[in-house]
Amino acid sequence: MEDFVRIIPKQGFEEWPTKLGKMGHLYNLTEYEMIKRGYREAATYHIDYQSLIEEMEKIRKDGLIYTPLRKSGYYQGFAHFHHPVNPGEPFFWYGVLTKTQKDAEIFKEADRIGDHKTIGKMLGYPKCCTDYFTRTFPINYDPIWVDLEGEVEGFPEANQMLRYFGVRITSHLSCSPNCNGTKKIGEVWFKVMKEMDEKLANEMYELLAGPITWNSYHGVVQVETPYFVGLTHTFPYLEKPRIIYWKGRKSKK
Amino acid sequence: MLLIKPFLGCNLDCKYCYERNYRRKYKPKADYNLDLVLKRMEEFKDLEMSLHGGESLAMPKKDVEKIFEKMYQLRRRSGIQTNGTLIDEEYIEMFKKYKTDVGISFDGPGILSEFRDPRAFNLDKTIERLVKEGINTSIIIVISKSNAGTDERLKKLKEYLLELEKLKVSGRLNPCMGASDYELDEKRLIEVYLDLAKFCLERNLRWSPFEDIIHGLQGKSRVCTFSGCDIFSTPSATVVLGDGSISNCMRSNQEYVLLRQPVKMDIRNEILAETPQKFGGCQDCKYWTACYGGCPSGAINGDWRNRTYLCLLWKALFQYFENILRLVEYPSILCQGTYVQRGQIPAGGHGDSEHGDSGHGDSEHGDWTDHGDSENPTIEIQRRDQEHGDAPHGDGIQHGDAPHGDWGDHQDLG
Repeated sequence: MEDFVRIIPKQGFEEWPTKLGKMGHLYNLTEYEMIKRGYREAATYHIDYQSLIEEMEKIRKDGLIYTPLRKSGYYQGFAHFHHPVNPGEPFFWYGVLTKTQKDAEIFKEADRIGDHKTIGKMLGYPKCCTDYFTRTFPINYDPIWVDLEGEVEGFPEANQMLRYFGVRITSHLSCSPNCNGTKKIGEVWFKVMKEMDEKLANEMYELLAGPITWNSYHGVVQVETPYFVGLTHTFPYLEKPRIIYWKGRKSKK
Repeated sequence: MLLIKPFLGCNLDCKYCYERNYRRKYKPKADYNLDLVLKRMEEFKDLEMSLHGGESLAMPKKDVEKIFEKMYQLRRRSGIQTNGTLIDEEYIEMFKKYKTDVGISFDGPGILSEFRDPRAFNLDKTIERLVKEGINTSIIIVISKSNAGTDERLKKLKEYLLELEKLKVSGRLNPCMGASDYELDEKRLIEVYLDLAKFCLERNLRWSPFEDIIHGLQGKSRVCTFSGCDIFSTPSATVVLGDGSISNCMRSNQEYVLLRQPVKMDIRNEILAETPQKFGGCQDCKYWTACYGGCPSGAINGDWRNRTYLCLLWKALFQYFENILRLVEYPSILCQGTYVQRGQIPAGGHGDSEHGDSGHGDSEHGDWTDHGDSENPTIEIQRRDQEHGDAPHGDGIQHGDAPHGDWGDHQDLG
């Protein structure tokens, strides 16, 4: 199945596809800001081949270093993997942002040999989540809490069930809906996010707090929120759907 | 087909109605914005149009007339699907004035309509009257326990089909779906439909789904049920709601209404073609290119990512008509084993409107339900070039609805 993302608003919520686009943009700005402000040692970053010069200039002005790692083919919406690039076709540069050249070298080497522990640590992920990802990703490339289904309650910061549509507070796949490490990191991300657009950040938080139904079957995940139904391609559960009925535990703050 | 549904309420409460859940939850009111609805109609003026519901004749007559007037202005005809119980002299005059094609939902006289309302028991008289007045009339009959649960009732139904034939009226025989208390069990359903297929074939009665089954086998235009529908786009039916929203055909909208996706995608086809039959798919099914897994609103376990739960019924009918086609030495396309490119499936009509609707202008002749357009009602022997490609992709799917901006996430951990 080719990459696709589909967002189908419910009656009365026509504005949500546009709003999700803005939320995705806010998340991307936050991810960049997190390395710029020194909250992480590294951040992965994609640059469209057509805007390389402008992006490199911006990165330089922000005191960061960009190290390209590989090319990635264009895709629509959301991709679980980097796509190969055919000669003459457009592409993104996939690379890493760091503060120092030394960190860039360390990350580059970790990426080359597939050292997920080092990569996870540099990206600022909790160790438990890095371990979870390392263990599950080779088996299931969309590892949303692979051992859970049915009613699930957890931190909005840990909710990655809307990431296909650009909505997330943290960049990593959390090991559990109640991962305290994720919550702690997520609070920093959310603070930075709010500084850029408080209203939109709060809306994103509320959306991630649920209710959400995540339903994965036959290679398509269908995510229902009060405002829209989103679809994308995913790991193909064959025999029966895996369904998570999510309710977020909001932070008292 | 543009289905105009300003009012989703109904004066009846048919037990198997697919809008029943929605209606019970939201208790629709006649609070539509008529100006907005009329404006929307102009935007979709290239589509055939039908006033739909709920029960559209339960709206104020002046509003119904405004909609007919607009249809007539845009299309030089108008159309309606109605339960028929509110048709009176004024409406008959209106139908004549605006050249309205009238589709009546009627399960047969008297007890055959048991799961509907007593007010709907004697619509045969209304149908006769419409025909007498020269109004183009067709029927949707829902096959359920009420009209086919016993041999006696089935016999009565067949007698009524013959009565309709005298009036030159036909339409669709739709299986009751999603209402387990009222629909026939699988064995009986197959038995009934095979019986009806034989009955119609022997008497040259032109009812769907039989001609759609034949058209499927022939690779011709047929009803949406067998055309590889995208449930979020429903290309055969665009719905205008009372607030001006554009939705899909509404069959999937049980608890809430989803807005229609303007671009059709082939996701379900891809899933079903690749998923083994024992897991709800259609892999290696001989009738794949004639059926495409059936209507997603009737999918196994209510999940559009599965094939229809009526699979065995459709297979039985495909097999029956395949044998007939073989007898007349018609080379059906189904044994080619090719994956037909989506753009090449002849698009048919929607199975839920007047006239059995496989022939609203965009199909290639021979739609048996569009009565009066063929002198020879026997199986049409018209060889169609088998141009369908065997490429699984490359069909110009436009993934234009993504919010983008989410490309920073993957491979964060390599």
